[in-house]
Amino acid sequence: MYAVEAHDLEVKYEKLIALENVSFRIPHPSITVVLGPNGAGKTTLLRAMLGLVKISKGEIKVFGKNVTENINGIRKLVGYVPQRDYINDYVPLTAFDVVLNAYLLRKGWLSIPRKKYINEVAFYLSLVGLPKDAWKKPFQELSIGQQQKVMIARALVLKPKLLLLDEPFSAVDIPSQCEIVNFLGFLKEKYKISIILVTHDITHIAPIIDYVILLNKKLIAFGRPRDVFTEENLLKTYGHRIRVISVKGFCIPLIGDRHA
Amino acid sequence: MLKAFIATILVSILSAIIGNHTLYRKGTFFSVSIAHISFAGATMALFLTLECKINISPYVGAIILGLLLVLPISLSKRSLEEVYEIMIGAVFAISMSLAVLFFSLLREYSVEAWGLIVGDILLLTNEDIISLCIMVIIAISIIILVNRELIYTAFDPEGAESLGISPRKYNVIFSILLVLATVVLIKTIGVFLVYVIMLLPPLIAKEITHNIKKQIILSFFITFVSLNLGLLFALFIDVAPSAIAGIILALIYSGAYVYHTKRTT
Repeated sequence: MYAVEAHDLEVKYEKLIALENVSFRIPHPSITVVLGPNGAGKTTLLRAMLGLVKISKGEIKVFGKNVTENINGIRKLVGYVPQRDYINDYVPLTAFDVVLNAYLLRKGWLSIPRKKYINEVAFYLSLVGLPKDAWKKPFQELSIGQQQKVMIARALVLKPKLLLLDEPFSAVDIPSQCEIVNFLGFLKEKYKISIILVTHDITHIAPIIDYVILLNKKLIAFGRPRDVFTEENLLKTYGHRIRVISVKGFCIPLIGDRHA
Repeated sequence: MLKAFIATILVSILSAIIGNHTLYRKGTFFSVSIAHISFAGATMALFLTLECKINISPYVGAIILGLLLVLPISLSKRSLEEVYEIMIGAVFAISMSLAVLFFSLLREYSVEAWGLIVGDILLLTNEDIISLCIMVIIAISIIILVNRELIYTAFDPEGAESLGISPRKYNVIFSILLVLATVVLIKTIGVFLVYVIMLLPPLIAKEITHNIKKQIILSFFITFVSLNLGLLFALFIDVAPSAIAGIILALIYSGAYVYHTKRTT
């Protein structure tokens, strides 16, 4: 079974091509990292999986369902953690309310917070490892690492089979990055959730990566890290020669790229 | 005086509900722009009525021009920040130019036009109170029905969209609500102070608490107290009560800002 299948996918923003000739099949459950320079179409690829962009050519399927034709069904299967930059700090929601409100919105218009829902929210906040004293704190007063945990809990409370994360490690300190990485590995093993994440730095996540998508407007390479991380592929992706080192059997390209 | 007192309650409710949501949507200047667009629409209607003998209520003119300029921008695919940038830049300039143009075209001194600029809570008619009541009922109903959606699309538009909730739809709903509330408030408070009354109480509440419910309740009491102090002053000195309320609010905001800064450092 495949979590995501793309066949000759093309996405345009008006006349500007954001993605073209993208084809891959991501087995389920697995952890896949999407890499590429700024403007390579990484976020667009995630948005295509969510049905948030118009596909101009080809198709993309999530768990065998065509995203364009089954958008409501897809939304029940996919959890999304957007970039931290999109969050508006002016809205004074507590960590608990961020998760609870998303859950109630999924349950339907005018849903009332029942005890069952509240217990589930508490369960997922505990699962991601957010300390209980942080639950009632305003979201913007939490550390960036804690905020990412809240956003992951928010995605998980919807019980997705596929979790999409856009730049989950951006501005997150190293201990929190390691906690999140371990948690993502745990999610795949225990809950059989497929995970696709966009990142610029794979140093900490390298040991748990199953597949890599290298993008630069078009698909440069897709496959296992050891097959994809070649100097030739990285040159095509970033336009610069990038060294690849092997640490305890894991291939790590020395990208050192940053989100702009 | 009783009408003025009732009006302070109704204005405080609008300020608490719509003012806080405006702040959550980072729409501080959006609200300022809408006040000026409404003024342009109202002066246009006055010009048509007084000079061209085409009878249009200034409030209908304000609503029509407000919606004509605000809706296309709210419907665009741009982000909230971009929408507000456009509002502040282009639309603000156009609306102020239109307002000055129609104002200068009025050949005679117009009490009504001047009334729109400064407002007067002491001269409200029964119809004005009914308009305020209807607006409060509309605002409360909309907020009860789509409060969660409004808050979530403001908090995380991307995440909301992934849940199937269109941020654009709620931008439009909120923009309509803001235009209607602004137009109703112009008569009471005046164009220049409508956004002061709408935005300073929520800003003060934001400096004091990070709880949505507490912010709304606090905003209500701050507006209510400042407007009534303004009324009290107006009994002894011949000044616009809303101007005194604005000054009181600015002083409270300064105090709240200092309190917040001291608490967080």
